[in-house]
This record gives sequence, C-alpha cells and structure tokens, in this order.
Amino acid sequence: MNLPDNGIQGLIGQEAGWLKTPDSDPGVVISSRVRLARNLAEHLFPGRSEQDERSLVREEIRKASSSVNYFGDAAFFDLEVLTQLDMTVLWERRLISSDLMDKKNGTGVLVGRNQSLDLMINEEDHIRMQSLLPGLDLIEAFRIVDQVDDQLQQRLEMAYSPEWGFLTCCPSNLGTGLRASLLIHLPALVRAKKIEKLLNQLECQGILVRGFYGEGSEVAGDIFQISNRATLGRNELEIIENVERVGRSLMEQELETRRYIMDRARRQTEDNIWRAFGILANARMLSTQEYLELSSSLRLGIALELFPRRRLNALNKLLIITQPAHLQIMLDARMEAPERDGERAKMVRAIMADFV
Amino acid sequence: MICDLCKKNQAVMRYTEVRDSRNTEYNLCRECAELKGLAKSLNLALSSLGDMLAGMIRDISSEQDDDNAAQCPKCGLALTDFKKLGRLGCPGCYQVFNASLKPLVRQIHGINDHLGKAAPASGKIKAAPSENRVERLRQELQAAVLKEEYERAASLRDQIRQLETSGAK
Ligand SMILES: [Zn+2]
Ligand SMILES: [Zn+2]
Repeated sequence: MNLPDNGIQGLIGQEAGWLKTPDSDPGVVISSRVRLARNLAEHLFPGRSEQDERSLVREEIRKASSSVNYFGDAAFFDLEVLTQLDMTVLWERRLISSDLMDKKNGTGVLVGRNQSLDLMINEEDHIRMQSLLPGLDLIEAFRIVDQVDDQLQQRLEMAYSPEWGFLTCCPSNLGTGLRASLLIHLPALVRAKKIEKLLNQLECQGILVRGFYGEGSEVAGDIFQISNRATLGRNELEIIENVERVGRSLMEQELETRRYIMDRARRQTEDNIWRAFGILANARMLSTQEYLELSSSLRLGIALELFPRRRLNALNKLLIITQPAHLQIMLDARMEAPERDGERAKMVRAIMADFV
Repeated sequence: MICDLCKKNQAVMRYTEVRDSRNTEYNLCRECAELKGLAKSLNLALSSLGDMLAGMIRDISSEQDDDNAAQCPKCGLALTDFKKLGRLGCPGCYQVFNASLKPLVRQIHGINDHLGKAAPASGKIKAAPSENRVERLRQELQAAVLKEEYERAASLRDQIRQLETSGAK
C-alpha cells in the first residue's frame, strides 16, 4: 500500500478488505478474525518494562516483520506521534485496541494486506497480530496469521514453554495465544426474542459472547461477537472449528427464523424495514446509535431481497465511516455531537439516494 | 474530577470497559466519551472473563498463602502483585510462580497441557494443520444440496473449482 504523507488519510481512502462480503456469503457473519499473542523470550512484558526496552522491542519486531511476505507493503503507525483523533480512526477501523491507545509510548501498529492483517506492538503482549476477513472464514484467517507467525519465529525467539505453550502476560491467553472471533448479525433472533436464551447456552460450549456495538448491557445494531474462551489444551484447529461450528449454527438458526418471520409476519417485517429506510433516507440528524439500529433493518432487508444484494458493501462501509473520528477526519473539522449527527445524516442520505 | 483521557476537561461520567479479560474504569469528559463513541465494545454482561479471573485469583490466594513473598528475579514481580493485577511481568514469572499458577491455569482452561503449535526452538515438529479447504467446501456443498439450497450450492461449486484450478497451477 502506498501511503501519502498523511497515512491515516491513506487508510480511510482505501476500502478495508474485510468489508467486501463475497456474493456467495449469506451475510449473517460479517467478519472472521483470528488473533495470535506472542512475546519475545528475552524481554519483560510491555506493562513491566521501561520505555527504552519497549522501544528496543518495537525495533526488533519491525525489523523481523520486514521479512514477512504479507507485510511487504505494510504501513507502520507510531502511536506516540499520532493525535487522539488519528488513533481513534485506527480503533474505529478495528486495527488497534483501546488498550494500545492508552499506552502510546513504545507502541505501534503495522497494517498490511488491505487492512485485513495487522500487528500491534507492545499492547499487553509484545505482539498481537490479527487477520480479519469478510464472512465466515476463520480457517483462512488462521492460515494467514499462522504464516506470519512462522516467518516471525524464524527471526525472533518467542517466549515458550513445553508445558504451557506460548507465554502471555495474562494467563487467559496462554498456550496457543489464539482468539478466534466472529462478528455476527442476528436481527431475526433478536426480534423473535430468542437471542438471550441461545447466547446463554453458548457459555457451556466454551464460547464468549458480547454485544459488539452498544451502550451498557444494550446491544446496538443486533451485532454480536462470539469467540473462544480457552486458549490452552486444544490445538489451533480445534479452537477454530469450535467457534466456526457455533457461528454456523447461529447463522442457520438466524436464517430459519428469518424464513419463519417472513411466513408469519411478512407485512409487518417489510413495513418495519421500509420505515427504517424512510428515516435513513430523510433524517437531518442521526446519532451513531440510531444509525446502527436502523441500518440493521436495512441489512435484514437486503437478505430478504427488498434491496439489491450489492448494497451490502455500502452498508459495511457506512458502519465504519459514520463513526465519530472518521466523520471528523473525512470532513477535516472538529465537530461537537449535534454537528456530527447532522453530517452523519447527510452522508447516509447520499448513500440512500440510490440504495433501492 | 478530571477526565482520564484528555486529562483536561471535567469528567461527567464513569465508564467501565470490559475488554478481553479486564475491567478498566475511566472517568470521562463529555467530549472524550463521545469520541470513544458508543462503538466501544461494551460487555453484554453474559460472560465476563474479567470477573471470572478475579474470582479465581482470589481463590488461589487463600490456598497458596505460604509463598506470597516470592519474587521473580528477572522482573521483580511479587506473587502478591500478580494476585492484584492478574498480569505477569515476564516469561520467567511462569517458572518462578509455577506452583501457584497451575491451579489457576487449570481453572481458566480446564487443562494444563499445551497441545497447539510448538516454537521451532523447542525441537517439536509443528503439527501440520490437517484442514483441507476444498474438503470443507465439499461438505458444505453436500449439505446445501441436501437442503435444496441450489444457489448456494452453485456458488460453493464455483469456489471449489476455483481452488482446484489455482492449486493445479
Ligand atoms: Zn476528556
Ligand atoms: Zn518475571
């Protein structure tokens, strides 16, 4: 990726690879992510080390990553020199965690492969690398990040014990250091009030669930994230296949519930979706929360063939660019919430103008 | 109270973030709260690993009181620090605190043995991922045909063909 002087602008100008849902995908699972945590054997963990050591670690990792195929054209961002707003853009694009934003000193992130691969340096662990793909494809996401790991390990000695595998700052990431997660859109299960019971059952299957967007215990936009709890005692594929199996089962139940809703309550459902469209196409102010909720109905509308399938990518894109920091950077203006709500509504109206 | 993020404005709200395995509390001003946005991944309160971990660490604390003074020679972390923070200081900590960590690790993961990928230096042969993408797609194709989802079946068939031809090259 060729980045101009302003790397953040470059990222915004490029459509992230994971936003392009393949046409064959039913669109229930929005994205698949596999993350690996690693630490260099010879250094203290970032939370325990002084800034000099963290900077040293960062250099070692950057040097090693230059020989990783997938990072051939990667962009590097030094969080020490980014503004809060720029960092928030990285966070809104799911490239860094809020932990990394808080730490700053000695941290950085490498972004490659059309933003579908990135490596955070000196977050809780020295290395947190993740591969992010559209739709349900954890195995491919793992294959990519596993290759990066292999190539890094040719140059760097990672902290490892035969008993506990790869050693991490928090014992909850021990072993494989692998967290596989799916972002999954379950509007029909939410509307049919089946969701809570279903998600509660997942806990016994070793799966963690949380709302992805939302305030407090509320979930906005009917989007959930599921991931594995344990990282030790199973191999990588077992972990991934378990999450994938659960994701597939949720997807099938969602699709079945959509058919049920359309059988029993087609008119109400369609009315609800068209009303959401009406608001999005006409509103003069939209908060992020309201946008998320209404766009969930549109996403459902695409699945029910009320809108063309190819609009899904426009919705994915809006999910990212309607967030507060993106709005401000794209419009090159510092804005308070009411102003942002106005600009957000304008942006959404423009897309809705030829959505149908 | 001053905002924990910008360290400038007056904080107006208290905000608990649950990420991965930790609760972090912030006092935020209006602006920073907005900027963090509601897109913050907030917990569904269904299953908070953070709470679970804290509980477990408390459990082992009562069992293992004897070596609380133990300290990692490399990073200086004491066992009591770990019990407070839930975080280790360096790879060496795992050796020093092995006895105290064992029951905790077992509680988190249900097991104490690493079965995944090995580090090259360990001399173990890397377990080759047995997955076969084409095989997996074939299974999906079969399922799709059985369910009479022909459109999906057609697209799966295309994907298989594509993979097979690209593999043949
Ligand atoms: Zn503030
Ligand atoms: Zn230590």
